Amino acid sequence: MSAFVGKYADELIKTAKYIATPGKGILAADESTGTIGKRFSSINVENIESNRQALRELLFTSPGALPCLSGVILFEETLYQKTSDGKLFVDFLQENGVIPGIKVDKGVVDLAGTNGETTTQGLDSLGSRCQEYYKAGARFAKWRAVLKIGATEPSELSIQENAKGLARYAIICQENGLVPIVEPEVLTDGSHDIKKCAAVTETVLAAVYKALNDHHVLLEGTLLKPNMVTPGSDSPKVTPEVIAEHTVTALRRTVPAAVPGVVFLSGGQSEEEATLNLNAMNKLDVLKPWTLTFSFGRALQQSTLKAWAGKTENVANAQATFLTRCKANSDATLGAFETCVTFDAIWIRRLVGCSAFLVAAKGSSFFSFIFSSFCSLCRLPVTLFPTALLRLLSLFESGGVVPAWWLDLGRRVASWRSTPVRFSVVSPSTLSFAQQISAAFGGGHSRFRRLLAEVFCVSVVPTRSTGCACYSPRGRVSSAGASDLLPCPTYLRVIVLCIRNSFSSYENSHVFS
Amino acid sequence: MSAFTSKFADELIANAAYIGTPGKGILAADESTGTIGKRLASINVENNETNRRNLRELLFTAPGALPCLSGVILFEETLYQKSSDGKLFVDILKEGGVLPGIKVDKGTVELAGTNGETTTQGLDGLGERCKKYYEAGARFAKWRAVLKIGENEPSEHSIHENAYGLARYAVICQENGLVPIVEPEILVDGSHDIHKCAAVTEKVLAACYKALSDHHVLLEGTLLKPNMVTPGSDSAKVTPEVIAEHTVRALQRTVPAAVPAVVFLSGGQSEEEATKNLNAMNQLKTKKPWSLSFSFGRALQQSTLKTWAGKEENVKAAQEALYVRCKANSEATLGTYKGDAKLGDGAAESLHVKDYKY
Repeated sequence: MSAFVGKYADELIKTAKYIATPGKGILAADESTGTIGKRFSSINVENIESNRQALRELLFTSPGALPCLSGVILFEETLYQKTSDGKLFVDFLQENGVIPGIKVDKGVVDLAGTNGETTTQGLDSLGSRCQEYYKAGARFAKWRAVLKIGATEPSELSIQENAKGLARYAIICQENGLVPIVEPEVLTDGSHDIKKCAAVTETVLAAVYKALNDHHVLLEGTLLKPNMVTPGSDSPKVTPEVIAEHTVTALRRTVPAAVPGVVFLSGGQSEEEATLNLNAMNKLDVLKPWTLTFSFGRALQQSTLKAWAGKTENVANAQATFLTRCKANSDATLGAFETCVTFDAIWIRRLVGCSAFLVAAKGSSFFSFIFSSFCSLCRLPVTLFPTALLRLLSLFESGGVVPAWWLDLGRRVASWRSTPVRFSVVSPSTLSFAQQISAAFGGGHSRFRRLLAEVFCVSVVPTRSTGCACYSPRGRVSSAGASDLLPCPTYLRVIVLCIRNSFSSYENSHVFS
Repeated sequence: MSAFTSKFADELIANAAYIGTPGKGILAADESTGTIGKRLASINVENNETNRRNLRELLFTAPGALPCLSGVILFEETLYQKSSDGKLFVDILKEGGVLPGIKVDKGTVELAGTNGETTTQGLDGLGERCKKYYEAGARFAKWRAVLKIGENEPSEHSIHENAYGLARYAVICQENGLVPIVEPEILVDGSHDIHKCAAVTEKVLAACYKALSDHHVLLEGTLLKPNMVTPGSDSAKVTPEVIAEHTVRALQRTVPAAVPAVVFLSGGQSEEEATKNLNAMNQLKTKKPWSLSFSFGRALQQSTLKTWAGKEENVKAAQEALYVRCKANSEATLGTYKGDAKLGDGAAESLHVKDYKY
């Protein structure tokens, strides 16, 4: 073979394939001590080992997060750290089906004679270091090469140097049992348009795969971690669909089918942007012989860090935030991420809650319906709702009137062919607001907090006969009775149906988390 | 885009995709006057224009053959020839849903300082020639680069020369509306095993696609015509499944998904071998983002030629023989060939000619 097939070949292929499992991705938690220091200072936390350990423990032990991950990239220090129970992080991760990885490069240095271009160092004794890391439990590695776009950049020298460095790193890893993640990051800095980024990305990736071939790297045992193809940071933004199209085209033109998965870096994108872009790529109806998933650092941890702020009492909250990002990106790898799903849930719950209350109070239910629906259509943020309504929700909850709903209807809805009609979208701040409310209420009332943090979605599908059909996680709710209630528009019928549902009894009212 | 986008971009993409239609493939009928002379000599037929025209008419009017084809590569002379009814061949082909193509290289010349390695010539005035061919009805082009396996071959020099020659040809074609078929043929001559062939094929293909990227070729508007990965001609044979596995793996490691189709050359394989190998590839359950089809010359025409033998009364039988091979290969592109094609005279005969030049 032109590819080097050492004693680790089968293991490398298996590991790379597992990391690329659809529905899973990588958490990049490999910030060096210096970099994590910057993150900490932004939340006023001291950069000491115990804090670094506390942060990583927070992330790894978040309930429900690990099933969304296939790998975590660690910094060398973290590879040898333990949880507060005394268990090695790597053991904890492996037991939960998450493969530990290790950052092996030693940062960038300037290339003399260029305009600020760099190459990456770390090849010296890389072989023996990889052996050590393998013994410690790591099964994949990461090496970040950096290129930039400018008038005359990236230069031919910079492309060649970085490509060769990546190839040399890759083969050394494979010789020592680690799957190399090949990361040729083209920075977003600049005022170039998306076409320029696409051209540069294609040129860089073509050079990288030529170099990998020259160095006899076994492509089936590697992963690619590229930038998404976007306009420069100083240029006007474009939609996720445009980004998806340009990115997938660039990959189709350069990345051989033997590569099992592409794990995108988030660069400077916000958490939401990164997820939306990844989702759009997976929805793109074009042939993609590699899976498209994530290897996010900031885009998974940003809001979690803010929520934590270094305080023990914030841990549960921070973990819930982290779980939300993990789930969102996991859905995005399947093209099943719907911004509305989470937030519809909050709205529906509120509407159900307040409507049920008003029906019970025999109040002017019709006007309440109108008001609630109006609010939802106008996408008014929840802060306008009196906190009193939320208290009522908790009363119903403790009285067992409002049943627990299944979460994650998104995937089931996606399997039903009709396009759901969403009737409210609210901002991410609403969700965190809801979580804050639940924290204020909840304290130890975890079930209520869980309910609020879950997603429950009602899909409204226009049908010919009745005007609307309502799908809940249990299946299709009959809409036959809708016409005899009130002569109101579709969405109001849905609200009524939800209430009817909420009063009927369910055999299983378990909470799916 | 890093790819050059000419005014022909959409047409190139559509034509390349059409040629890769599953169930169809290419008939390589582009033998130069010298080469066709050798074929005709083997069946005792005189090499004059009438006979060359008769042969091609026999092929293009064979009942049932054209639906199995998406393209036919022609030699320059044939591009302007007519059937006995006075209809241009290119028109007959177009009406039959077959795209006419044209061989545009001008043969190989030796690379000084190497051990018999070659490069391909034909770049001079290529742009003008392509324009003319486009006007005459051609929609794709072919350029054959040749490499060989030996102690020190293929050399880095030879790989580089041939890869960059192919890339230059490809972008000139695209500028003028012709889909370039990129053909880096690694000759089967030698006693090397299949692993050696795989290693060399992967190296050569990687170099080709790097060159195509450097030259801003629009990959969606190209086709690849590689050799299958087989043991050397002097080595022990292996099963079609083994050939399929090594070939597809080599492609997976080098050919980007943007390329719509891979149309294999038959090299020195017999008609039946070539079909069986193609069939095995299409049955393989693995990632194949390009369709796998054929671009056969000898492996489609051998038994047809033998049956014809230059005689008018044999035309019908010869056309029947061509149909049998076309149908078999069409099924092979779908992985449904059952190996039961009526083997014509010489269908199982090896067509290997040592150090083949044409």
